[in-house]
Amino acid sequence: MYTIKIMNEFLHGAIWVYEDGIPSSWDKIDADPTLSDLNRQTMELYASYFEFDTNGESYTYNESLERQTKGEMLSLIRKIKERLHELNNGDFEVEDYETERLMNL
Amino acid sequence: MGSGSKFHGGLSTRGGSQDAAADSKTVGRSLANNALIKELQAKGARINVKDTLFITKDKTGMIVWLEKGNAKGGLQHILDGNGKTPGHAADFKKAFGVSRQNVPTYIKQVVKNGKLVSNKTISVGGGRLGYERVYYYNGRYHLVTGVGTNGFIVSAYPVKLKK
Repeated sequence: MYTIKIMNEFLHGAIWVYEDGIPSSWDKIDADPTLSDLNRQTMELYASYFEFDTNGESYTYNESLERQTKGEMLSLIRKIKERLHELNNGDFEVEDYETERLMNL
Repeated sequence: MGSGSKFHGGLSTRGGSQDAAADSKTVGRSLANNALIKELQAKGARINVKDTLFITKDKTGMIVWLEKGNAKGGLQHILDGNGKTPGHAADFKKAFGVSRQNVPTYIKQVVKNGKLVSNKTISVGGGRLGYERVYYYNGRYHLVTGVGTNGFIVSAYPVKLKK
């Protein structure tokens, strides 16, 4: 049984495939062009919040930019969940760790 | 069909912070005169020496380092996520048998001694780059690191080898 976790990560994208509790790969999800494109968009948007060697810090996370663009991220995640719903024939479950967090920003 | 949200309560970030803080007290001091840190600083990199857990050259020859960090990047993020996401402490335990207090040492070991199987340079907007590096060390899993333009390790996690 697979679990698809929705959680943003630097250079990864929001879609995580877990098998037996460990990050994994699964062609059903990884090879779907719609999901791949949406995942890439979340990766690029999320990565844009990171800055390196600025403000005297090794890195900073631009929370203001994340708040400004949270509508875009929420839209991408909604589309991801809709596509996952289309693909799901009972062989995976979805855990969304982002929507509530983003809505509360 | 399985599309509902699940939010796991009770995820502690305190344990990770305390572990990392304990490590940084000793490691940061010992790194104060480290040649790699001096090399980084000479290039203009902003490394928080007192919070640095390790620094090394990876298989590409790039200087990379892991800091205690916070919810968005570094060890605290790797172990405990952002406060809503679960983090990867349990993933390290399941995949590599590595307990949370040994995660920094394990990451250093793999980055330094593992086989680099993938090295992607990824545009992160504004003309900036990030580096996704995948290592094989042993067993059935890869270790993936997400590294910033300057060598700061934002995240690391195991991934099961493709069948």
